[in-house]
Amino acid sequence: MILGIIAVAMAGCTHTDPFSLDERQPLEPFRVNDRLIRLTFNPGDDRDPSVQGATLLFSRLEVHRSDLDRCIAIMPARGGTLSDVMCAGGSFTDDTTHAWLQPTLSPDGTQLAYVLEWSDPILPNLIPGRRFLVVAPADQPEAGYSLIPNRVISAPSGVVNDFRDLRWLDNGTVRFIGGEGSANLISLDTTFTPRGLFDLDVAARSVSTVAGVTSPVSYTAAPDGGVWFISSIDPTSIRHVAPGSSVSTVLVTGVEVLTHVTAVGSAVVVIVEGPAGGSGDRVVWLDPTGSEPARVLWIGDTPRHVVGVPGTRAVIAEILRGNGSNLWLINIP
Amino acid sequence: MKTLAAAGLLLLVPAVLWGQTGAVAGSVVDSVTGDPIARAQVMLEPTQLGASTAADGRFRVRNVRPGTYDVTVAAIGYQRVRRERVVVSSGQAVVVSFFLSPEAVELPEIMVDSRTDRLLDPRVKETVQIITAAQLRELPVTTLEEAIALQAGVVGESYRGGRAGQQSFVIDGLGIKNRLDASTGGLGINIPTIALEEATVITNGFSARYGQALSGIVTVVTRDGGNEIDGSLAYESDRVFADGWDVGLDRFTFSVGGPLGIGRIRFLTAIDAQARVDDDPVNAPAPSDIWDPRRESPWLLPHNSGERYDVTGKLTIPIGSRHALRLLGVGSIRNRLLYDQQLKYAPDRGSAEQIAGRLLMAHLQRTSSAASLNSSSVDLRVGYFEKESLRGVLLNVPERIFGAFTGGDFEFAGRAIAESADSLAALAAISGFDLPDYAVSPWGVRSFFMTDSPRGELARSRFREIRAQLDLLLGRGLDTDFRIGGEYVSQRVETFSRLESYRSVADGAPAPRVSSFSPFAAAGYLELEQRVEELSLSVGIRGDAFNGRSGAELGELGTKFGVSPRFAVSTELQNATVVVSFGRFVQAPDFQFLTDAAFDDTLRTGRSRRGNASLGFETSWQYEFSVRVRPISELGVKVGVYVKRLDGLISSVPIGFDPDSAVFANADFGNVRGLEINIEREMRGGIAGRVTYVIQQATATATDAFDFFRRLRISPIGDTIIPASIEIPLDFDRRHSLIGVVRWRVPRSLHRIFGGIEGAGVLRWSTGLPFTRTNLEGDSLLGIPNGERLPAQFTFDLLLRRSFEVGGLRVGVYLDVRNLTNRSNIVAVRRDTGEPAPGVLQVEGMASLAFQEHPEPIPYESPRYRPELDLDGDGLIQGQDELLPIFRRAARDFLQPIFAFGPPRVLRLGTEIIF
Repeated sequence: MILGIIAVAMAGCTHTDPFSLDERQPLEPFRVNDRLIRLTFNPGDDRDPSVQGATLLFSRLEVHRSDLDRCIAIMPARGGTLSDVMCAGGSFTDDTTHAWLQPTLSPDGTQLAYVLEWSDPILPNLIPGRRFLVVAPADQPEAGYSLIPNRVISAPSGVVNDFRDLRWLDNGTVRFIGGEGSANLISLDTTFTPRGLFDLDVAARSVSTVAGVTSPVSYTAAPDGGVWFISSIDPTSIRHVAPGSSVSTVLVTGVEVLTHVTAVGSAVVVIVEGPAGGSGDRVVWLDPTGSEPARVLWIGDTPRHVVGVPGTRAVIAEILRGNGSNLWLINIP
Repeated sequence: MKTLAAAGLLLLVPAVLWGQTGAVAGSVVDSVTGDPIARAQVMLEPTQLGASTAADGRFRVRNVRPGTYDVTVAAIGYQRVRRERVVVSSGQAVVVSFFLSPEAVELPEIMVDSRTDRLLDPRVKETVQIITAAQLRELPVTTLEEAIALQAGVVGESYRGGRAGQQSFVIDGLGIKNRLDASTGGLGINIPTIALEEATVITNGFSARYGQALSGIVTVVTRDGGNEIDGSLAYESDRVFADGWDVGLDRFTFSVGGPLGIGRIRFLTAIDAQARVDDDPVNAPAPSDIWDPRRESPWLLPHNSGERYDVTGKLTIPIGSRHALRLLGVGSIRNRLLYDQQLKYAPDRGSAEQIAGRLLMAHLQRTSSAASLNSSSVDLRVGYFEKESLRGVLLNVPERIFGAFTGGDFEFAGRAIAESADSLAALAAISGFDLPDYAVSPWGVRSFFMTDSPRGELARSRFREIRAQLDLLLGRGLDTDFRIGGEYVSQRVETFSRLESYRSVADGAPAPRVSSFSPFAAAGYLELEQRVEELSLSVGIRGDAFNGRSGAELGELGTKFGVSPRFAVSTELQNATVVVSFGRFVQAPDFQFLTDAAFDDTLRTGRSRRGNASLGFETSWQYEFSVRVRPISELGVKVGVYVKRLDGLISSVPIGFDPDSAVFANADFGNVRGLEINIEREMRGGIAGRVTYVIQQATATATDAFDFFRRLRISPIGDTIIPASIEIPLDFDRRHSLIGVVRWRVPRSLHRIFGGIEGAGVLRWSTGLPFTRTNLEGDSLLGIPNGERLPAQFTFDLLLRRSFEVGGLRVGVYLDVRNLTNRSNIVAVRRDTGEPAPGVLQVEGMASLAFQEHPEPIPYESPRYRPELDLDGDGLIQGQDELLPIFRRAARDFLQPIFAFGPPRVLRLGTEIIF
């Protein structure tokens, strides 16, 4: 009996466990003040934000990578710690720069759409090579299919070989601005000429044109299910395309040029180009109905992109300061 | 008078003494007249072994396996006599003398039995150290290997200063050796100690019957099932002990044996299962850095658990009156997770290793008639041996179900590719291997710690052999034995290795290495043992041959032959027994050296050696002179000196001028000289003990087969490289070694509580092993190779046991403590500092390099950001002031010398039932 008691006592005890790693808790947002939260401090560029639910995706230049790849980063839309960074080739770097741009997550969180660009083989790191629109599983960006533009898209006014402002309309459709991208070998810069707004049917791999949206430089969903957009033909106004394709102008600034627009409730937040070609740009809240006065949310540096956070009165702005851009969350008072 | 007569017989028993078998000898005398009885039949039950008495009444039963027997004597006109439970040990003759009463006379039969004094017996010429089943139970040892390590001249896998792998195993008479990688890997099978009858270690001029070894032979005799059902059940664990004394150990053993119920067939089954949460516990000091997660519990390492299962089964089948068939099966499997400091912060990832071994053996024995005076026996053994090892990453780490027991198999990534040695499929990246990246550690910086091993290693090896062995013993009278025998071995070697399996060969990964070949080996021997008066002489000769047949691309390179004469003579001089022996020994090289090898050196830079299909035998000559005396009855003293000359050992020799280009060759030679002193006190008054001291010097021109040192000699004007003749200490050159073993039994009558306690203590002290100093970069030697030594080692182990009789069962409780004093023995040091810990320069150098490679700031949103390290609170950890101190702490963490220290104090509390 003594033996049994000892054996049972021994077997009943549990062993000591080896040391374990404490799960590190995400950081709280870096709050500058009640209105501003700085989302990223990355020395490399953080650009092309898009929000799906409470998740923010953006394209991030990982400065430790010798191949200067731009990766897809994911973090809470209201700030904190990155939850994932996915790069071409994983952690291994190669001799070619791969840029994953304009990332956007499907509403069900299972798919990812982004623009793939890699460096030109002749002038690497100076001008981009070709661009593809890629749709892929959310956790395997390299396992998707590429939309080869010239074979699929027939734009009425020219070639479409570049893509901007990718957004998922639903789990089967990706909307984007299609245009013609080209490289200027003298200034070593790229240009983008918008050709139209397109919807990609992911399952059918077919593309259709959104009627009425001509030469869009920026667009956002209107409260009525239509589209608000800024056209390069007249960038001083915001136009509206209703679901029935009727086009109207909802807001006119006069002389000030708008470069980006995003909806925040029934209002919009726009980037207004400053007189000095960037240095005086402002982020402005506007009520298209005109019932409330406009409010300047940001002035100084160079805001380059703005996107609303659904369900909140906040936007995420890409702000260029010095040589790198970072993301900021701006709470609208 | 009768006692004296029996004692006199002790000196006259001409037993042939083998390491593997013993003998029963004695005389049969008329108890009335005192006359010897001729033609009396002596039988050993339950075997068919027996002998007939000569005209002088003497008899001898040869070739008796160690074990317990009943001896019966029958003679016409005399009452039949039976002596029960006569214990026979290897290499030892038990003397049992019978005084028979005539059938017409009503006198009780008288028997006198005793053992020959093994210490003084001149027929014992070999330096044999016996480990009995009782010792395995009484000493603080768990495995046979641990028991062997208590013997004189044994250091780990090294015997008398030789390299690892220079020993061979003989299991129930069948030679077994892992021919593939004996010098770097184990045998692959473990026989549960509860299935062992006895083991012996032979370190000098062993019999010509034994080959495949240069330095030692370990013979193992497994138990036969008895005439009645018996067995044992035990469980031991360290669960009950406090943190720090609990390494997660659980061990179960079970054995049962006895008659099978079918004819006279007997069986034995034994199982030994052990698991440890930390299978390789170390006594490394706790880190001082408060952020190190090991700091709070430094005694256990994660991803370092292991479990092993050893099973043995045996059938003993008597056939008629003169034949017996024994069938033995041994299976072992060992699964281990391998902690890697590089993966400290990715504990769910890492390498694992699986080693499996199998042995199947059939042994048919034919003995001469018990009525025959010139006895003989024939032993035919056929065995199949296999060892398979696999190392790689796991797809899933099995869940633990009890302690560290998982009960599941390892799922290795790429296992199918490795098993099929599919070199074509292996060109692609192998599924299950992930690209390594820098892991997120407490230090934040990108350095040192990885998410997966950059080696991405997948390696498999498999060695199989079928061996047929025939041994014939011819006894002529009582003083002459002649043995002849031979063996043929057909072998098969398969190896596969792939590095950086997470990427394809097209992407720059090294090509997979595959080999497959079928060596064979054969051997034959003759040996004569003759006793003339007080002189005992043994002369033998052995021939070995092998052909690696690995060099298809180089053409068949022929069969290598080796001849090994063996000689030993012993006699009694002035109450001392003097033995002189010498012999030549040969062993085929590890087959791993016939193929290209990739391996890690201590700096983990990864090196390779080119295989050599034309390698020949490694050889040695050994000379020994020993004296054995018994100054007082309970004390035996044995002193021996030996010289061993090693030649043709495998080493790496340079090809061209590339400092890392080398090929294996039979190029190393060296010498081992030693003195062994063994003082043993037999159990008297409840105390027994043994003290063994060895001083030896083992030198050669290379430390092991992989170390690559150009032959060098320091000239008077500097370190000029000259093809040279200096010899350097071998890796296992442990100059001084002292082992003390004490056993005691407290009489039950002495004390109510402490009475009945049995105990054993083992003390080990030895000088440290040699190591090589280099500069910080590791590319220049400081002094000669192996010119420095580790600190001395000391451990004290203790076993206490209390047994009870409960309901006809014998039950016991025991406490087994290893390294009782918890001494932190240093078993390895850095070559650059000579200390376990890195020097300041090493830490600073690594930290600076890492900082130069990754000077990028750590932004606030990164999982690597640590607010406490952002000294100016600007959301960025950046610059030398903020980053470099972190790299230093990370470097210190990475360089912790965890495996530079030996095991800590390990306790186990056990319970057992013997039935």
